[in-house]
Amino acid sequence: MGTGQGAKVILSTDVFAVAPPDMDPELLPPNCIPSDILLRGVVAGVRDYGNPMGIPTPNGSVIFHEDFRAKPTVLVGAYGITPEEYVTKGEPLVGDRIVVIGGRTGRDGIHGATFSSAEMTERTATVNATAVQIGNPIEEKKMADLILEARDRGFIRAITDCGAAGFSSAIGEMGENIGVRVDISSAPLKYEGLAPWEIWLSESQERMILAVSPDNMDAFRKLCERFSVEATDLGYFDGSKRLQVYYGDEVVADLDYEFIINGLPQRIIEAKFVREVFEEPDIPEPKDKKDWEEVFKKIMSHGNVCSKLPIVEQYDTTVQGGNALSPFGGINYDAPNDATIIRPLLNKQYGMIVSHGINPILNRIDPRRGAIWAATEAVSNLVAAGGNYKDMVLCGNYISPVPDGQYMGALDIMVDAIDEFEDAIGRPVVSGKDSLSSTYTYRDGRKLHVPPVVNISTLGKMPDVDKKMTTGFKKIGSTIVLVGKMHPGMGGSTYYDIYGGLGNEVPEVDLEVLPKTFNSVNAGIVSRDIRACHDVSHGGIGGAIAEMAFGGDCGVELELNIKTRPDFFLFNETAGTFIVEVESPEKAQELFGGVPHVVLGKTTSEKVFIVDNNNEELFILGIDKLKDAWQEPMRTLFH
Amino acid sequence: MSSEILKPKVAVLKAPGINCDVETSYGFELAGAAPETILVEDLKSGERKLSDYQIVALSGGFSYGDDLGSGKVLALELDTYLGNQIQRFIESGLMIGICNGFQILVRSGLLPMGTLGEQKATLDRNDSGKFISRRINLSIERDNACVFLQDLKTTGPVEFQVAHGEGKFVADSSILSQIEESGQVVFRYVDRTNNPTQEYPLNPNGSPHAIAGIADPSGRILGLMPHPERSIDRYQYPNEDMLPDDFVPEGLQIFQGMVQYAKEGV
Repeated sequence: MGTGQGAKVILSTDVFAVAPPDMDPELLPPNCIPSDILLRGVVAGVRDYGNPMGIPTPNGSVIFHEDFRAKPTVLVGAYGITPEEYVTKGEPLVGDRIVVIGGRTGRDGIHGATFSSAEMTERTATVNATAVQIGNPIEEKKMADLILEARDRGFIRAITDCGAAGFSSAIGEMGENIGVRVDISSAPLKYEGLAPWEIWLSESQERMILAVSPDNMDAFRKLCERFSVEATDLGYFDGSKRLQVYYGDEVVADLDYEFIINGLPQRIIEAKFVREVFEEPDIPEPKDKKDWEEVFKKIMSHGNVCSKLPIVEQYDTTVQGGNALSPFGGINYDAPNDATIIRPLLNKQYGMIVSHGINPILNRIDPRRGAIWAATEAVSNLVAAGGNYKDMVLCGNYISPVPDGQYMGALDIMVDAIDEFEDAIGRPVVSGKDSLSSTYTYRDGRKLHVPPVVNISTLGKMPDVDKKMTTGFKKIGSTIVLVGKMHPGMGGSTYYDIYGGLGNEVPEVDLEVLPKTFNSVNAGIVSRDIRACHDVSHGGIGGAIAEMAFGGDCGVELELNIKTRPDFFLFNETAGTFIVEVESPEKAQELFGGVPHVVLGKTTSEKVFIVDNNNEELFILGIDKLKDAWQEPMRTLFH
Repeated sequence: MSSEILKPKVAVLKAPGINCDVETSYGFELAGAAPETILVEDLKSGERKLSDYQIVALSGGFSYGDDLGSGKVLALELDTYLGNQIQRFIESGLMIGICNGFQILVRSGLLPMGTLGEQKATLDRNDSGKFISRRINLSIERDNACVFLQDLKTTGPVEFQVAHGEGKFVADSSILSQIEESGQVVFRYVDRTNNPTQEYPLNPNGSPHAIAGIADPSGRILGLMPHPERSIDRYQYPNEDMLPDDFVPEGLQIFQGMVQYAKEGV
């Protein structure tokens, strides 16, 4: 909302990493919230803010790992739109009024940013309770409507939201070139009794600071009244190049901007990543149908693979009416799509496409391959849904346990890896954020670190939303093809995880082949020769094909000819590989002749998953059994 | 220019927390009307008046946060500040309430009985206890009382989106049988074979008689929980590729019906 000179929020995304709900309760550190309660709470938070705000939340994911049991990762993104003339940040002029609009200031959210950026202990829940802001979505919605109207009438010279550090950062940043004089005793409060420093630092939500020309103040105030938004004049930009804060007649701060901007000495951080060696799990090769059924169902019901429909269904994914590719589709509306597409302007044929990729545990083993996996997964999701990676930008979010030593080293490697990825596909990361304190300290001094997290999101343009692609199989008798270069590494895979092992060999994405793979898939989607497409990620090749069969309400028959272990093939999770449905093997050769590809089998009307290898049947398994295993975990958690 | 004059004017009302006004306006625009977003504040202050419009639309959202019950505050405002205007308007004008708009109409008394200020029914919390957003199928009752849906080609199933936490239509049995007998029930949640269903999530809230939308006795006021403005173009359908080429989106047909009736009524 505060981007440029005011923007309309048209989409939000949510990516969570939490502990598995079935984790041994003994593992829960003192004064931490059990994972099932935490996940339900976080989902309710997104739901109860996003839905009343009227912002669709059609893209996201949930990742499960025990090391998030104290500090979960919650990445909520927002996408907005604004006319080109309002894109650049406005500059306040000397004499402009400093106006706070929206909600009132309270004690909630004091030190919110410092708390969330500090290590957590068993005392955090009690000591820092007031650091959590109390949201009011209707206040925010009123303000959002007002801002667009005020922007279009030319009332907004500059705008900044009161995020971390509240007034101090919002007003402080806006005045950095000219100077500020404000009287915070006039700020409207939720209740009496706040000290000046509390008013200045409060992070209460739903507040924005605007620079408004004195000539426009009367008209602006009238507009605020019509939109039932409170607006209060706090002072003005005074040309002093100083930050002067008054409480009535009392000076509570008077600082030179030179000191505020350049006064903090640069901190030197040591970074050194030493690769750990993890145990290779000893996994018996499935011998018979029973073994296969057991492992395949475990894969489908794994937290990182299972259906998130019971979560997504609680979000209003189609408000604003622009949805052109919903998070779930297929004959029964319950098969996941790889990205989301919306048309922010309802009368246009073009739209935007959004996707993401994340797999934290890979970064613990191998930060370079892990980060490239996440970026590749993000772009693969976009390509699978019909997007063109050449018409796309990226956003990177990093979360690390401590800004020091091993973890700083891992962060450094991940950032370099994303840089390498940008070069390989020729597209930039244009936005992002980091948080470097996801650590819990036990009473005895032991530390619990989250794995290093990188989440890469995409934002692409769809020139014609009609070129979107869904994952569900469309026809019986179609040819199923694996496109892209598979790497044999199984380190950090879902398959290893169900045997409790991590391994060391993370699948490496071949960055030479990757753009060619993207191009061939994109061309096949644009020409409509590809009937369905799903990228391979958590759950591997088998998981991807199963989800496509759920969408088509059909079955598959795979005829493999592989010499290596078939389980390590079916559950391989190399990012940048795709499962596509085409008419025939000849069509596959025509479309994918220039890139690695292999015909796997065909779609069938009977709802069974059949796999033969070297003319020998490995297993035959009911699609509904797999689907039930896949739907059960979140259905139980969100019953 | 003459075609502009012939376009029925639609007041799409906006109050704090209403959040489907843009796409609802667009639905009317596609159907050939001239929609305007009107702040309820401006109606209260007298800056705008309902008599300038042929159609009033109350769209979805969480008006005033739904803090006193969904739609309650705005319903009170309509009755208290705009009662006279509304009474006059409904003598000839058309009204539609979608989702939160339906809740407002029911809490104001305009639905089901057209009795402003006298609430005869309610929209209660979904049986599941949860907000639900998904595609559902509806039937359109034959011989229903709604005056502007008479030319609709289909009786269903039609595919709409629901997105609500409080959509279970509750009224005492005399009201229920009254609206059934008079054809005021317009939409019902159905299964694939177009039969009314109580099964979750096909019936997303547990509404008795699978009621999804109703009209008032005059047939000029329609309220429904599902969102017709999310079925006004083919892209909004998750399985767009299965739609026939000449498909007319089902939500658009509702807006078209209103606009057509308003034109002929002039």
